[in-house]
Amino acid sequence: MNNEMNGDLNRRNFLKLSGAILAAGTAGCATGVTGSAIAESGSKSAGMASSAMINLPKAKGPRLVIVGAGTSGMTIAAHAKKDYPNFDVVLVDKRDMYSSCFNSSLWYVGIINLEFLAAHSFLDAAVNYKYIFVNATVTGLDRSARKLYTNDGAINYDFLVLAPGISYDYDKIGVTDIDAKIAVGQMYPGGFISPMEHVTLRRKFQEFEGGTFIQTVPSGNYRCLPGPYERACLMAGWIKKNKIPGKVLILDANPQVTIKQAGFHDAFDTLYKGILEWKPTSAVTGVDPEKKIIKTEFDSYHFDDASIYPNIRASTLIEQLGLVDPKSLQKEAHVDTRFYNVIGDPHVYVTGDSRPHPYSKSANTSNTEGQYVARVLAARAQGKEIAWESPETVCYSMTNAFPPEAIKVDAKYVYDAKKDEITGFSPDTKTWETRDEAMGRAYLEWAQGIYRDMFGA
Amino acid sequence: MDRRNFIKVCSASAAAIAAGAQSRLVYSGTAKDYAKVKLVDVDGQPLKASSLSQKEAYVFNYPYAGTPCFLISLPAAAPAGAALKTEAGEEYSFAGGVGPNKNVVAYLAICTHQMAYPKKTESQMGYNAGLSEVAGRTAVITCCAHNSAFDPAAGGKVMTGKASQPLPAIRLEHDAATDELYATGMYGAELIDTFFKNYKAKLNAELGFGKYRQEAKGTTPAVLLSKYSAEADSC
Repeated sequence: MNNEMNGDLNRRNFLKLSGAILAAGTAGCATGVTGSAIAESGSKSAGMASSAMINLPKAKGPRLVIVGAGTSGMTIAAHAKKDYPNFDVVLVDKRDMYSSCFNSSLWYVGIINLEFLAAHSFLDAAVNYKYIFVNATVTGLDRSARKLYTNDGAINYDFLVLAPGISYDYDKIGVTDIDAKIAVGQMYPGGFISPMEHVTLRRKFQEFEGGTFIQTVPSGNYRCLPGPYERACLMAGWIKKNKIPGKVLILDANPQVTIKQAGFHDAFDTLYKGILEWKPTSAVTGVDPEKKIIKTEFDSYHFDDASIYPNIRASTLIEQLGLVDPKSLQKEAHVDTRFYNVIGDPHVYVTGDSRPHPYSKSANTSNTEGQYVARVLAARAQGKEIAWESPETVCYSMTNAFPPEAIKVDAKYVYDAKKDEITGFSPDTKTWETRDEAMGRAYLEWAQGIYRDMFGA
Repeated sequence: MDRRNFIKVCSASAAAIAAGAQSRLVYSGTAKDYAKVKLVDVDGQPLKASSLSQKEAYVFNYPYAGTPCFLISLPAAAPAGAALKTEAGEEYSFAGGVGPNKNVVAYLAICTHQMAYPKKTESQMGYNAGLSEVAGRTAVITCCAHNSAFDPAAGGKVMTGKASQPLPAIRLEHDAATDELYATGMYGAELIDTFFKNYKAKLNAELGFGKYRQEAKGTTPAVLLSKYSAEADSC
């Protein structure tokens, strides 16, 4: 079915100047092309003609265009039309195949299979929730004309949601040379963005025969706070079960485990004593991918294999479209704290892990936030406003794989109206840090529930 | 899907409650009639309302072969009248518990948040007769996948979590002469179509193709959740 769809897109491409650089120099207009300096020049170019529109049915109501078919974008696409049936929803993503980032580490040790992560179709979601899925890459944005550009043509919008996720920031771990960036990213992926990283990391687990496996943990508000610790636990469990003469070394930029400290430390100390070593305050300052050396401020460590998780930032798309908050340390978007619209523009919203909020960058946060943002959009399409509502972060970590046992946190957040800021976790935040099999089972159902919400199947 | 007609009985049942006409079915809201089915144990013997375990929920499949429900004997009477509202905005009220102590209730055991339900292997949907960490109270229905909790004494009302509507309630009838229990219909949110849409492949594989849609008739066994699911969790 995907081939059929792509074939259709290709036929349409034939009629256009596909891949043309899209730019517009009008006021209030941000433009961008991945990796292109031309976008910054503000020059006009071929392919920008208004006739080069994606061939879509005429909008039957306010058109809501959503960019990014991850947890945030798909949740909003799923709920927007339910909340306001007049919406005409279009979801745009450069991928044509979904594979879940959340839960992916569980695949490496066989708790789940690839089908669990990837047997979810964008087509089914579009049918179930009555929207149109467009398999295209965003290349530019003209906010004054309310027009989104893609490699397949432009789309007019009444409301636009950008949920492009994150990009890695290798400069912050001292990997500044472009050759080194590419080598580190390809050889020792962080495993928190794309499915191909997960495939590579699983292979590393399957092929690891001994020595030191290093898992690094970045500073900042990185995606999935417990994720790197969980993966380290799973690798340590894998080593233990298979009697591999190896160990796991966690190089943590932070002075303390960043979440569920008691639960992780208990696993480190009781399950993986002698197999897993955790080094706090050990931010990576350089990597030699060929010699397999990671440098920190005071030491250097040799590894046999590794997953190097660099710092993260909002997707480069946010920067290319000119939406970065200049105060943001992670180049996140400048949006209204409660309602997510770009400051001064009630038609463009940024959600999910490109948001500037100090929320956990995790699946359940984006899922619950997406449900709320869908209600915000539904209200605004009808000229109304709704009260702010906190996202909720229910998040499991499998600290043991054999048998699967998990720990959990359930957090909400506090909004301070005077400061117009999110100031911390709400007082009813709870953690469950004594691992057990019941939470191990609930973890899988947790993920499947989110898939059901995203795909309706 | 082949369904019975919707029956609106808001005003009629309100009048019935006011008149104290408790001998017959009393409920309000959007309801669907299904076959009147007697609840029996695994040996086919009728369950008696006054001798149900209060330690855990029973599971029975109703109104279809593929839709599990909880039967719960609460520690106290569950009075009628709790005001409830579906996600679609439809208001209705709880019909109350049945049985000699008015403490027996039943709900569709499918979480209205993201549709966890009791499976043969395991269940995150459960009834916690003791103190629930999630709800901070005893005698609650919990879904441990995303920490939602529902009040079985108040029509399945959401107590905590992101569930956006109450659990659909199963309409029960109690025969005072025999102490036997019958399921006769369901009221509240429409969830079954969406549930089937999401789980069709799994239900086909488990029950045989299309079998999940067969309506319950005659009798339906209700077994303890700990027997129904190999691993039954509550939180």
